[in-house]
Amino acid sequence: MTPTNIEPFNRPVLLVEDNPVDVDLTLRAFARRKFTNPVHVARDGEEALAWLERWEAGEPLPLVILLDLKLPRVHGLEVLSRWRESPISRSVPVVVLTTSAEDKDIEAAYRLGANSYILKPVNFEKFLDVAEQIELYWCITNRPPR
Amino acid sequence: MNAGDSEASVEAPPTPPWNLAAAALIPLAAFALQDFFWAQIQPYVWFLFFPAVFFSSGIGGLRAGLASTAVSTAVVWWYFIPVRYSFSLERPTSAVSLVVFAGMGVVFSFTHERLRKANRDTAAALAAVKAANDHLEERIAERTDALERTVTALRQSEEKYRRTLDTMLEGCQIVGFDWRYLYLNQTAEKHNRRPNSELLGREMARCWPGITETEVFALEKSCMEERTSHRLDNRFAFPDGHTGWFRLIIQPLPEGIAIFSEDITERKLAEEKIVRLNEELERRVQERTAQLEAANKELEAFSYSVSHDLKAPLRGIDGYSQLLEKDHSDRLDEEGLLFIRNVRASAALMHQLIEDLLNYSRVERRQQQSMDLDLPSLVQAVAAERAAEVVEAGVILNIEVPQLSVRADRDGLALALRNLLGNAIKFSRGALPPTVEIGARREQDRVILWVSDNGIGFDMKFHDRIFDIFQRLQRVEEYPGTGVGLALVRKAMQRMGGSARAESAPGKGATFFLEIPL
Repeated sequence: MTPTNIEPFNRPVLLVEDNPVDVDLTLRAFARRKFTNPVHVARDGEEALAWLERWEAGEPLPLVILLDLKLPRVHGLEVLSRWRESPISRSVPVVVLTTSAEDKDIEAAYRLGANSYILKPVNFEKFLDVAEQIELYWCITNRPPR
Repeated sequence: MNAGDSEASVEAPPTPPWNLAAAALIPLAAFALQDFFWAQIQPYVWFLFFPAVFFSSGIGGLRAGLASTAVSTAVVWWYFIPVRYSFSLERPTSAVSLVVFAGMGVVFSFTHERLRKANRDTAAALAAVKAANDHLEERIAERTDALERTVTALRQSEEKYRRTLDTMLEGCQIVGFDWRYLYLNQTAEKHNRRPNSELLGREMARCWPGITETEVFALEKSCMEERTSHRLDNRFAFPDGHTGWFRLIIQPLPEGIAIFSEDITERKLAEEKIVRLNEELERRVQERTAQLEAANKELEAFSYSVSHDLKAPLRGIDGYSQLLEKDHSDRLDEEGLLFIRNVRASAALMHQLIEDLLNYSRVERRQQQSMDLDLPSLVQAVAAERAAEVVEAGVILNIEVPQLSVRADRDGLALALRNLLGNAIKFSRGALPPTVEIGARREQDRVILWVSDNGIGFDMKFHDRIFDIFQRLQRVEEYPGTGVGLALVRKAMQRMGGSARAESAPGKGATFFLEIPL
């Protein structure tokens, strides 16, 4: 099932984000911080869920998933809940990275099993800081299940 | 009455003098007649004198009879008994006849006296009886009168009651123990929608087929048999299709039962109308609530959308202008770099506006959670959040909050205080040295919390405007801000039933007061 010969530094990160600008800025932010792990991008809820089948088919599980909430087709919270139902993806850390500061979104995300909830800063410098912190914590400090 | 009573009550009246005279005259008349007819009468010397004595005693009574006897005896003896004209008795038979006559006269006299007495007694008894009779008659008349008066009064009284019953506004029906109608008043006729003549004397069940199955009849039966009163509001459906509501009172009477009815159709209809109106109102309130809920949902969706969708392009603007500035500054001149900085400043301002707007709508929407708050700790917590800013701006911050406790929504109050403190720091920037004070006091039914500064202040004519959303008194480049802060303060205070106001003068600093109800 899950290949065990992949070390954390080359395990991928899954970015679920529909806004191309945000995708581009996130990738650039990672690049600026010399983040080398491959970043897969899912551009809507359906694409995000499609990854479930790929993981079942043997593709390596991501180190961390960055999940936006407001997604076309399937809402981020719905995606999160489906991932948490599956035994394969249940333990993958999910960081909600969104602009919504709504209490109900935050509560729902944690209730459905999000590991962290981060507000996307508008200011690019702060965004860089956030990217760095995510990378530092979730890709280097944190030890995910294999 | 007995004879003794009568005797005792009747006195013998004295014989009147003319009776005595008549008694004397009658023997003299007898003498004259006998003398005249002596030739035919002799030798019966006493012939006319027996009747004379009889009549004398009859007319004059005892004394007249005795006197007449004496006179007659003397006259006959002197005049007719031989030897005539002398009181001599030549024959013994004459003496015997004389004695017999005298004896007879005495007997007549006594007999007549007794007869007269008996007559008198009888008359007296008759008079007594008549008097008693008259008295009785009088009393009977009196009794009759009294009875007649009573009967009249009763009749009047009955008339009065009957008239009252007849004309009263409630229907009245009296039903006998045999279930026949004994009485129905005018209103009952109206209520029954049938002439009373159709019902009077007839059995209820025959008048109203099917009535024995009704609740009303069950109560009437219970009243008839158990002598209990009942009251109920009942809807009647009449054979003519009309329906009406009646309040019925069913009461036992010595004759049977009485049914009083009051037409409450109008009232019931009004009640039903009120119920309908209420239902309608309720429905409209529900509709309106649903609409409001939908509007609220829409608003939430809108702010969610604003939060997400408006910020994303801003991130692009800011991100790419920064990348441009960092990575391509060698290809831009001073003006170009200024433009990029302006673009980024605008993006930052717009971001702030969006944030403030979202905060404002969140304050409006969020549920209030009242809790007991320790005012000094709350103030300290808010001040701690701004500690870096205070130090950076070189502000002297004096906090003198007495130990007061309020019951309020913590987040709302902290938000208001945070904004006021931020404003005070911002607008006291030019003062030497900038000083901000936070204080509180209790006033009757409320607690006043204030934040004052020695900054630029404002003209009180703008007092109301500064609390309106997007209202600014200063140019943004001098005192950056979105004009949402004080609107947020006022909204947060209003939500907890409090209020916010300010006192200031241009150049004299400003004091903002928060009033928290207790």
